[in-house]
Amino acid sequence: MHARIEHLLSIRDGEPVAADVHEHVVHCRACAAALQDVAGIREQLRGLPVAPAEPAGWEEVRQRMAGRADADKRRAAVRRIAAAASAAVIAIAVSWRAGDDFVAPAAVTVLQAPLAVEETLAMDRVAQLQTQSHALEDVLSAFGDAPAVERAGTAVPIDALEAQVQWIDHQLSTGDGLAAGVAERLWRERVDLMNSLVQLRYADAQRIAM
Amino acid sequence: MSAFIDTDLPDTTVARARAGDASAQEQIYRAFERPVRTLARRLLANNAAAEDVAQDVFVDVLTRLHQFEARGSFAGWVRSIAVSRCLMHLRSPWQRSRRWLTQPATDATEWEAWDEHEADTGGAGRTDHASTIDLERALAALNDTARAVVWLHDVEGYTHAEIAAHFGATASFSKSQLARAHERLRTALQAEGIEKPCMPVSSTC
Repeated sequence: MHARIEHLLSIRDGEPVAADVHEHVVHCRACAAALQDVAGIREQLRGLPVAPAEPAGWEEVRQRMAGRADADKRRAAVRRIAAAASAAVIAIAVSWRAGDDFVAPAAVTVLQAPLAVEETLAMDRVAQLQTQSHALEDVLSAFGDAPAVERAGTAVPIDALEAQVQWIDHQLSTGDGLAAGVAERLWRERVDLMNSLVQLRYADAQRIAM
Repeated sequence: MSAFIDTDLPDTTVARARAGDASAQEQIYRAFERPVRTLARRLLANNAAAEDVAQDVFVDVLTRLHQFEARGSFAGWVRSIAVSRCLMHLRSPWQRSRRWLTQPATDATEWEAWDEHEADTGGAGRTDHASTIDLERALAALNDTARAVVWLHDVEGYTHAEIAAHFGATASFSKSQLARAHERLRTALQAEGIEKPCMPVSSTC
């Protein structure tokens, strides 16, 4: 039985093999020739030519390095925006929650409370919502202009949301003397819409950065 | 023998490159350009892909210089990045599907250009031009894994354990891939008629 090629390679590389296999290879001309072959192929492989130098190669590497640095900067910017957006969303959620906690006891006592107190509370909530809305405006403006090439999946909802925000702004701007409850409802809707807009723009920004 | 063996740089060059010195970075590129491109071309057997990967290797090397620890040789560090990049390319499902659409570089034209360049520059080991072309064709025709294993083991001097670590496999896997590669190379070279003359088999076998 001739030695298997695994054995021949082990002998060639100076690795241990069974004594009888080694003995066989020493005395078998076919196996000795096969051993020479595998050693010869290794020498031939080592003698294959080395790639020539590429004169323009360094310039291409520099361009790639610059491109990668730009991409890293874009990713960092998106991460910062994402962090700001997350912070804004968390702040809004916390303030809503705090607002709810605040409303609950008020709702219990509302029957005894004079109307002026309820209106004052509603005005406070409107002020809170306006602050949240402005915070979301800041986050949105941090995204910059909409990308030149938009994704259909987000472009349509973004347009729809912006139209709704405009409609609410129109109602708020023309509705002097709106009842506190109505103003609160409109501002709450505006904050919801702005929040959705931030999420969509964030998704878009992530896609562009990838 | 591995083209990386004879390639190294003074520590000061690496330190300057790490500090952002563009001329030192270019020195690193010039020193390792040929070994990296050779390794990529041999492992990938696709010239366009090899050039692309080689460029990425240098971007990796030059942007990660701060990660180099002087415990080992700089050439070894560069080579390990190059090997990882090439194997990543071979493993990529996207690249695999693309390779279905493109032929490996079994066409002798490209290799002949290398040979001529070697001859012009007084390259060593050019004993038989035809057999070199045949070997290059045979090597390029191996499957990706067998080709990478035989090159890393026989030329770059990687141990089976080191190859296994790169492939996330066992040393036995590396050994069996090496055996398979040699089997096929021998068959291919014998079919080309450049291998050994007929040798009588001993009656004791």
